[in-house]
Amino acid sequence: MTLLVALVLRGGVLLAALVTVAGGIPLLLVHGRESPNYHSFRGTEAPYRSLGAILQGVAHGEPLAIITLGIVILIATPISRVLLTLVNFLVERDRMYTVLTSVVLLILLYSLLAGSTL
Amino acid sequence: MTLVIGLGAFVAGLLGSLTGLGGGIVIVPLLTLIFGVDLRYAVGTSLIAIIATSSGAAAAYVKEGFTNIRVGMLLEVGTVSGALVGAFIAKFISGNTIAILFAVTVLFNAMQSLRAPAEHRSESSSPLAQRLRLASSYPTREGLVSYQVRGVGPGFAVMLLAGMLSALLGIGAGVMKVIAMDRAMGLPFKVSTTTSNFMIGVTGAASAGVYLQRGYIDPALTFPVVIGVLGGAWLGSRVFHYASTKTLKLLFVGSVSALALEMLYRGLTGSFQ
Repeated sequence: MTLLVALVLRGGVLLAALVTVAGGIPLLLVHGRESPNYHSFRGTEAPYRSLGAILQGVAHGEPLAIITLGIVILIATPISRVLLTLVNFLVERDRMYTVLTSVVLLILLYSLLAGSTL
Repeated sequence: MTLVIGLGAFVAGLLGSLTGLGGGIVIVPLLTLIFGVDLRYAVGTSLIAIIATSSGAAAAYVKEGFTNIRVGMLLEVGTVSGALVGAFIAKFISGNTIAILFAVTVLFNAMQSLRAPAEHRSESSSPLAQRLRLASSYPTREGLVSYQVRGVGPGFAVMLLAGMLSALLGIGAGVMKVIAMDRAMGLPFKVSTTTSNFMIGVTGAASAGVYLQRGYIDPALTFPVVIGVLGGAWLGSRVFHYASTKTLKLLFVGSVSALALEMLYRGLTGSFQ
């Protein structure tokens, strides 16, 4: 079990890093010379904020979408760990901690999938 | 500019991993004070970097058997709830207020981290801790040493606050979590630190999801920061044995405090949006 958790954690970070670099390198090649403006906050103008938009952008090979996918994989990594822990408590028939872990998981999934409603 | 940001993040990751104090508290001031990045982008990016480093470190700790999963899960209910509250109120708090809050929190945490950890291995347990079956044991050279847990209420309360601050400020709040577990709950120090690390990534993910959808997380900015931090953390784990942790810690705490004071000044004089 601990081996699986370690694998998932390390694998998640590695995969996320690879995907991020896969998007980052074309970004540098195309926009490397520009100095992007981070002074002003443009929040809702950002194109890739929902999973649907991200996946569509990746399908079109957009570097920013690919990087954002890497970010999503990274966010999903601790969530996966919580899921594994939930399964562990289920197998151990630990009702109390199955419930507690489910609460944590639900909050995490809410944040990732419906966080814009907050 | 991307490469310079990546380099800065690399140093942050390196120092964070060598001192065990985390890179989050360096990244936000680095981005806002030196690169003029809007505070919201800085906080969002920092949270992603924290998820990356804490997950990587947790992968190493989980095999050692110090983490108390039940304590971690119980307290996580607190931290992720706090994180959602923090993400919610982040919409209504001005950048200047966040900067001031950041400075105060970091200065407080920095001072606390310099205090020697009181090995508060608890011999007594509270009825609530017993009901929740939090007591456990950890491995030492002489075999498994068992410990009891207490102070669940105060510990949980601190976790709510830590989660809120993590979401608002883009930090891991690890020091706060360790203090709560070490002093209020009586966990052995190594259990506190590994369990805290277990929680940091999860807490970060709770607010990061919201921030991603609000557009606080800019991919072009996050790319060099995450890759830089991971690179620095990796190097840190390699050279760990050659480093004098005490000197580094003082250096780190000193520079972070200086950055925090600068943020305090700028926050008070209204330089942030």
